Amino acid sequence: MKLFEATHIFGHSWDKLTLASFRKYPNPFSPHVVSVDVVNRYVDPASGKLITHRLVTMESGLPGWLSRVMGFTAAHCHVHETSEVDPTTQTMTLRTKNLSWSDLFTVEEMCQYAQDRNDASRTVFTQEARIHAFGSLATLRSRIEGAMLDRFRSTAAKGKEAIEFVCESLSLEQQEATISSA
Amino acid sequence: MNSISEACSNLKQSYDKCFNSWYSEKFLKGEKSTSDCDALFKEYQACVKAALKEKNLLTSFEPGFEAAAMANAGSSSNASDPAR
Repeated sequence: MKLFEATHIFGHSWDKLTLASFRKYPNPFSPHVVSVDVVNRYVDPASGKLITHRLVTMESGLPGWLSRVMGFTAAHCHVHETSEVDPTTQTMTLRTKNLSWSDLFTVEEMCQYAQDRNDASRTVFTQEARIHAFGSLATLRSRIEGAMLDRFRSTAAKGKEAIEFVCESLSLEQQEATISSA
Repeated sequence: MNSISEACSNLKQSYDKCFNSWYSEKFLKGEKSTSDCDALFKEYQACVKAALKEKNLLTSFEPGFEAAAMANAGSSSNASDPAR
């Protein structure tokens, strides 16, 4: 099992960041994301949280040797993302898990956006991923986990740039709306 | 953003637009009712669920699968209750 952990502080309000999270795709930093669909969404009556299940389809981008191990190449892969927005505590939690090749490996990610307790104009982002490959060959498991970790690291770095980009776009939209209503 | 099925993309974009303004202007201000976008959501869901069924992807989102996936992700018990 391999673990990835990161923390980052965004200089944007929590409200704006959570909207940016829902509006993250498309963006120029994530050209591998092909489609995003909402498969279920509701406000939980007991907790008041907004729960959303999304199916994200992306270009698989698997290393060539892994496609050969699996015996096939696939253009696309699918990920299930579950998010919970709690407006009371001002936290948004996202969990994602691969649906494709889940008999070979699992990549489980948990992210959270929470309002900075000391500064409401900032948001604390935490990210954690667990990568677990299956199979009887330890060397192969370790190679798969290493390849997935590398891929995750690069996607995670681009993901932050993507969120910044979407936040900037939202600010521009707001400015335009203010100008046109003035 | 496009839908997995080209046939659903227009419905999805109309719904997304509605959701984005509901989210900012209503939900974050304490409104719990999703009724503003219910009609658009229903239309989009009918389209996308049919497309997912055709692609054998719908079973991945059934409650049993979801509960198992959430348990694996180490979620708390209240979070794995889909309340449907």
